[in-house]
Amino acid sequence: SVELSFSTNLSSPQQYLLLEVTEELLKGELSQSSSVLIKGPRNQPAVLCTDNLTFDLKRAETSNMVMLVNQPVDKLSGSATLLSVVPSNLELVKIRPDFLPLSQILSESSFNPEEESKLKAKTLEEIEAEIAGSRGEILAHIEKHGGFEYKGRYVILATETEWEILEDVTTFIKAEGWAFDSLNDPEIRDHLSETYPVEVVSYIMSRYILPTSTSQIFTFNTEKFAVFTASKILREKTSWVKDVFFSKWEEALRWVNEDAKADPKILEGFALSNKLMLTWFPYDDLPKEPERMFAKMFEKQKEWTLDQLLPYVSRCAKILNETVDSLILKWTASSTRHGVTYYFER
Amino acid sequence: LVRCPDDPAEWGIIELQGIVVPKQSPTLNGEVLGTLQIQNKQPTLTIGNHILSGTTVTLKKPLLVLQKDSSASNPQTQSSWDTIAVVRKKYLFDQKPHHHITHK
Repeated sequence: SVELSFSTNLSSPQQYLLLEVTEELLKGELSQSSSVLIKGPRNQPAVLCTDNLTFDLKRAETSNMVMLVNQPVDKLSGSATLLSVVPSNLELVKIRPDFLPLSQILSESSFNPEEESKLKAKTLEEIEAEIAGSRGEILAHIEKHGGFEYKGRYVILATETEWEILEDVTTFIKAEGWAFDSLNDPEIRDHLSETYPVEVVSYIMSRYILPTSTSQIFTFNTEKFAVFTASKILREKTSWVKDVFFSKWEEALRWVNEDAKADPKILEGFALSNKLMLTWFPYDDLPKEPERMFAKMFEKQKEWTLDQLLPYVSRCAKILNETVDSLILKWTASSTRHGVTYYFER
Repeated sequence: LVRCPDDPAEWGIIELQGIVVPKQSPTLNGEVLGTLQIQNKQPTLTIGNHILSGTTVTLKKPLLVLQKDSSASNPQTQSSWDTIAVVRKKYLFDQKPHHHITHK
């Protein structure tokens, strides 16, 4: 038998936290991360961040008396001390960080080399203090949205500046008589370095000039160019007549490839398409919780077809590890007219 | 900041349905709770005249035990927690206690 006694210094419950994890997380991300933080930026609930993942913290209370003992229960013998009574534990729920504030920060950090003195941009530490997300996810989001580090701060190129540099690069390529899939990286880099800071040149080269399987031969990233030109054109107006948009987009694409065709699939997840019109509506600007995400979508447009919903809901489903069907079933109602199913707010 | 060692020690939990109230002293500090016995892997806890039968529960998800680091360099802006243990099993006493009657 084992005599159980309370510690003479029974700790305040606040001195211990019980955190529910999985074995996979314990042996993987938690032990491999260089830092694990619990942080709660202003006006945002606290989250736990490893190097690359973000978790909501949900408190699970119990009316039971939960007492900690510093041995495994099946190894207790003689006498044992109950160190603390802990009335609750924290549960981890993996989430996609809310990157709306980060999009806001980046849009305010627009960089034009000719107006460097006007630059207002933040360091990574300042960004991390404002965003409830892991460093890895923050950096991936910054990179995905064209951000890069300039003199210790994170900036995005002003759209017009990026367009100007791309025009410069593509004009140079044509003047040298190169094919867009057979480029000379050092010469392009040298050409750009005559005009732009090294960080800007590195950003443009890493984004648009890609290595091939043949060493010293590079290719122009036509896919990134297509995404950039599409988003640039879309943001010029609140909405576009489809035919007009595709015509303008294709004209821009043919600057680097005479046979280029505008592929509507590229627009999935950042443009809302209906019969006649296209509107800039990026997934990354939507709230991360499904309830608020759907509310925002139905605020934009009262009824959605499945094809319109899928690019947004599938991204959400992937992050939450749920199925598209379960999210649509939970957060929408539907009706069918003339053989087409429309989804609307519950 | 939460520090996680590669292989934390293993601790346990004793869980009672209800609460234990000290009889004479104002707090539970230093008080004896009772006696734990294991027979055929089933735990029994005797608290005073009460006998509680329990079960061994293997947690579906382990619990990390974090302890606050009171020596954190700047407690105003950051608190630090050390992962000192992991709990994978508990003894759960959630059935109505029996009363042990002694005859004089």
